[in-house]
Order: sequence, then structure tokens, then C-alpha cells
Amino acid sequence: MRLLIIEDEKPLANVLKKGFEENAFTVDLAFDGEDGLFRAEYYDFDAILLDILLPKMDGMSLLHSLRKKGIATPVLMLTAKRGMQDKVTGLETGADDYIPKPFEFPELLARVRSAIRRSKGKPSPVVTIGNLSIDTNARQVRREERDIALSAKEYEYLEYLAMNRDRVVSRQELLNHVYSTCYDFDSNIVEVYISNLRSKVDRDFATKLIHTVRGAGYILTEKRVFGD
Amino acid sequence: MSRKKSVASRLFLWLFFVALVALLIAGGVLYIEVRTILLAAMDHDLESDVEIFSGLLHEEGGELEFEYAEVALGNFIIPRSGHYYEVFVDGELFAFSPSLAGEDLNPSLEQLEYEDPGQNLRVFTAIGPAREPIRVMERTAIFAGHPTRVVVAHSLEENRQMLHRFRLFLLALGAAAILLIALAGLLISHRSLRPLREFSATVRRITERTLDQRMPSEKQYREFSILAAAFNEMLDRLQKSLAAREELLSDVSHELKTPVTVIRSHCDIYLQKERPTAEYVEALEVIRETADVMGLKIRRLLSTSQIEANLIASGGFHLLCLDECLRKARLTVEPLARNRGIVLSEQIMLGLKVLGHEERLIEAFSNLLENAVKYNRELGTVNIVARREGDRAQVLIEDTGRGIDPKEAARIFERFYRGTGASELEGTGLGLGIVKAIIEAHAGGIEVDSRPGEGSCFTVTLPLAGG
Repeated sequence: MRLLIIEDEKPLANVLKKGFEENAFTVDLAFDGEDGLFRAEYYDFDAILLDILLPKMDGMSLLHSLRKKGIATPVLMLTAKRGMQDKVTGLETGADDYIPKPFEFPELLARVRSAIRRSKGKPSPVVTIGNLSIDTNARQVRREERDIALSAKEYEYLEYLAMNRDRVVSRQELLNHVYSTCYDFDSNIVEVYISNLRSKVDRDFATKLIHTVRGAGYILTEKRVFGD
Repeated sequence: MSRKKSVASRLFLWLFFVALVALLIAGGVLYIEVRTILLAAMDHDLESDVEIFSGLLHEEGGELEFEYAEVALGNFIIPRSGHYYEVFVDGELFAFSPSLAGEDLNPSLEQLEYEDPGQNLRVFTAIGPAREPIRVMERTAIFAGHPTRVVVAHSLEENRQMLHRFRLFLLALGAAAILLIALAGLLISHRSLRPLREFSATVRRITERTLDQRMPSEKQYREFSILAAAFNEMLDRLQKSLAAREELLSDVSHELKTPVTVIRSHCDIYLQKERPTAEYVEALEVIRETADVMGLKIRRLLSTSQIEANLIASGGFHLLCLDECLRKARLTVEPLARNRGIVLSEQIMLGLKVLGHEERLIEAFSNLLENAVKYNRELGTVNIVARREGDRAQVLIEDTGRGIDPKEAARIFERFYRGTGASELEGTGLGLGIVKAIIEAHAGGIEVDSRPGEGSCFTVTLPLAGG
């Protein structure tokens, strides 16, 4: 899952990036409102963490222009301000959640995940495709009661495909959601990771779940797929 | 009634006391006047009687005779009537009134009332034949070669009874008047304090939640409109200071929540799993730095609020020489200026005196100078100017530093403001928010004029004191 953190307090932004990355997120940072809005508009994110008091452009106006442009990415507002009014204004402007500072990181993580799940129409933290189950909270992958050990990146690929199950996900979309903008990647990298995933998730089982749709991308489904 | 002094009862007592004294004086004067009139009327009667009895004496063939006239005698015939006369010729009793009934009048002088030697007349009080007090008029004259003396006496009994009745009447009237005055006084003092009660009722309705309410000063009586205005001013000050406190609280919560979040997030995230020691060190360093920032913020906060609250109340204000304060402030930054190769120059007018807290004022100037040195370019200059501008002293501190962005200039005096790039340089000073608080506690003002890239000029104005 790819997350944008717009927060001007650099030590906080940096440690949150680290925390989310260790939980299978790909994180982009923006330290002011203008940069934040630019990134939110031009890249695909699964969620945005937005501070209210920001240099150049405050969080509330940023959210407003984002929603006006029809960008529906879940936005979670972070703020140290007191008072109900900001909370109400934020939620009315289109924020999905409102988290007052100081917060506890596990709670922030849970609320970000929950916002992403809701936006993808998957209310349960455990996604089940056939006999494959993915616990997005514990980041645990099991098939037929057997634990499957995945690397962090492999898990990110699988989680994204699971969140978009039964839908074809293009190579570019996968790249967009699994790598941050500053990542300099090899064009082959998606094929490499998908092949690794196949060997771990599908090889020992009769029913294949990861399919390649030629010229379109990949799909995680238990249904039959043409062109396999 | 409580034992506290009451304006109403005091007002009432004074009113009552003054009315009582006025009544007593009026009563006394009236009584004396009536008594004098009564006595004058009596003397008038006595005099006409003396005239009549003198007139009854006449000469008949070389012999003196006293002619009885019924018309003139009246009361003088009735025995012991209180009206008596005696006529002496050549020192012998010549005629006397039948009312004496054989008794000798022989009035022994009790108290001489008045004497008129020109008319050979005297009036005195004596005891009459019926042991009654009498007023006697005696006139001596020479009639047909004989020395004569006419003595007429009227009883004072009736007169005294009249005066007694008048006294009683006066007392009754006085008592009634006092009662009336007392009632009126109570009513007046009660009514005159009614606006005060209304005033206090309005005051009572103003609480910390309705502090924006004001006393309607134009609707009050003149005396109370002054009070209302004073009260409103007090409310203004109170509201301002409460708002400042509220703002402070909001600043504090905002300013401290962010570093707390940084610390908390580091703890949460670094404790997610076991890590190499280097990573823990890295996290702890960030935490230490953040704790330092928090400490500085708390120090600044305490300083500003202490200055705002205590400086004026502390009473530590003295007459200070501005040049002396600036000299001491300059001393504190000279080592730093030497290290950075910055030249300090000054044009300080001598003899400027201000009323202030010496230590705080030096702290403010030294903060400004420290900033001027710290944010200056290498080998730059700092110019200190002190001069007189009307009834105020003006201190200018100019530097050749990088200047302040106009967008930031308005905010640099805010309590927690840290300019962009300021964090790179070590901050030991307590910040411009505190400088502003100090200057404002001295009834002064501070402004900044800056051209980015060329330098800044801070202007402090303070009211001059002691000529």
C-alpha cells in the first residue's frame, strides 16, 4: 500500500515513514502543503496522512482542492489543534478520519489500514481467496493451514493484488502502489516479484490463484481466467 | 443589619442629625422671639397704665388729688387680680389699687429687667401680694412741685402659662417634624441607593462566561456612569488578560503536542521489533533533541508569562540611564561579535532616562544585539543608535545580516515563532517574543524593518522619564 505523509515536522515525518515502511507500506513524504498537493494529485496513493498546520498551504485548503478535483483517496488528518470546530470542518471537507496529536502509532496504523480497507470495499482485515488467506493486520499469509513466508516487498505485491482481487491490475499500477516516486527501479522488477510470489503461493497447489492477463497485467482470483 | 458600615444608614444619620440641630435652633429662636414679644406687649400695657395713673393725679386748689375713674380701673378693683398700682407723692403712699385688698405692694426687686434714667423709668420682676411673680414698672416724676412715683404691676402668671403652652406646642411640633424627617430620610437614603443595588445586580450577572457584557454607562446616573466606565475598563483588562491566558494555553498545547508526538512515535515504532543498537541510538538522539526543544519551549513560555504577569506588579522599576543599559547589553555580546569578526558601532545620546526594570531591559537589548550578531554575515556590522523622539526614547539596532522575509516579519514576535533557518543556529536567547513582552511591560513598542539580503533594523521606543 502506498501512503503519502504531509507533515512539516521532519523528525515526526521521518519516523512515521520508517514505522509505516516496516508495516509493508510504501511511503512518500511532503514537508509543505504545496508539495503535498502536487504529489497527491499526480501520483496514486492508497491513503494520505495530512497535518493541518503546514507551511505554504494549510491542510484544510489542500484537502478542499483535492476533493474538488475528484480525488477520493482516503485522507486522515493529524492535528495538534484543540477544539471540535476543526474536527467538524475537516470531516465536512472530506477527511476520512481525524487523529489528534499526540497519538499512539499502533492506533494510527490501524486507522490508516481501516480507512484503506473501507475505500477498497473490503471491511474485513482478513482477505480470503479460495484457500488463501491474508491477514492484513498481522501480515500473515496462509494457504491450507500452512504459513507462507514472504519478504516485505513480496507481501506488498500480494496485499495490493488481494485488495484488488478479481480485478486486473496493470504492471504500471503495481509499480505505482508498491514503490515510492524516488525509487529507481528495473523494468523487469514486477515480473521478478510475481514469479517469486507464484513459486511461494501457487506452486505447491493444484488451483492457481495468480494469473497473467496478457497485455493487461495480473489478477488474483479463484475464478477461471482466459488466456492462462 | 451587619456590623459593616452602611452608606445608607450613615447618610440617614447625618441627615437626621443636621435636621435635629436645625430644628432645635429654630425652636429656640422662635421661643425667645415669642417670649420677647409677649414681654414687650406686657411692658406696653404697663406703660399705658402708668400713663393713665399719672394722668389721674391732678391739682385742685393747690392740693393734689387722685381721681378714680371706673373705666381705667377694671382689673385693678378685683382683689388679688394680679393687676396692682401704687402712687407715691412726696415719698408717701398717696393712692393704691383696691385689688391690693389692704396688702402693701412694696415690690422687692428680684431681677431688674431694664432702666431708662432719661424717663426715670425702670422695669423689674418681683413677688406680688399673692406670692405670684409680677412685672413691675416704676416711674418717678415731679408733678406740681411734688416728687411723685407711680408703680404699676402685672402678674406674670398668665404670661408664663402662655409660654408654657407654647413650649409644649413647640415640642409637639418638633417631635412630629423629627418623625417626618426620619421617615423621609429613610426613604431618601433607601431610594438614592437603589441605582447602586441595580448596578450590583447587573455586575453579578457578569461571569467569566459573559465577560463580553458591559455596564450600560449612558443609562446610569452621573455618579454611577463614572463607576460603570471604571468597571467596564476593568472588564476590558480582565477580558484581555483572560484571552491572553487562553491563547497561551492553546499555544502551549499546540507547541507541546507536536514534540510529544515525535517522542511517542519514536518509542512506538522503534519498539515494534528488535533492532541493531545503532538504530536505537539514532532514535534516542532524536528523542533527546526533541526533549531539548520541549525544554526550551517551556522555558520561553514561563519567561513570557512571568514577564507579562509579574514585571509591572513587581515594583522593581527604577529611573535608569538608557546609555548605561545599552553599554551593559553590548558587553554581553562583545565576545560573540569578536569571534565572528563583527564590528559594533554606536551613536548613543547621553542623558536619556527611562523608568524600568534594569535587568529585564538589559536582557531585552542583549537579546536583540545577540540576534543582530548571530544572524549577521561574517565581518558585518551592528550599529546601535539611541536618540530622543519627542517624549520618547528610540533605540535602533541595525545589522548587515540576511534580513527577514516580509511574510515572516509580522510573526517573529510571536511567542513560539522560530524563523526558517533559525534552527540551524544554536539558540541560547529566549526569543523575540520575550523581548516584545519586556518592552511592552515598559509601555514601549518594538518594530522591525528589514530588507532581505541587506539587513534588519529593530526599533525600540520607550517613554522618557525624569525630564
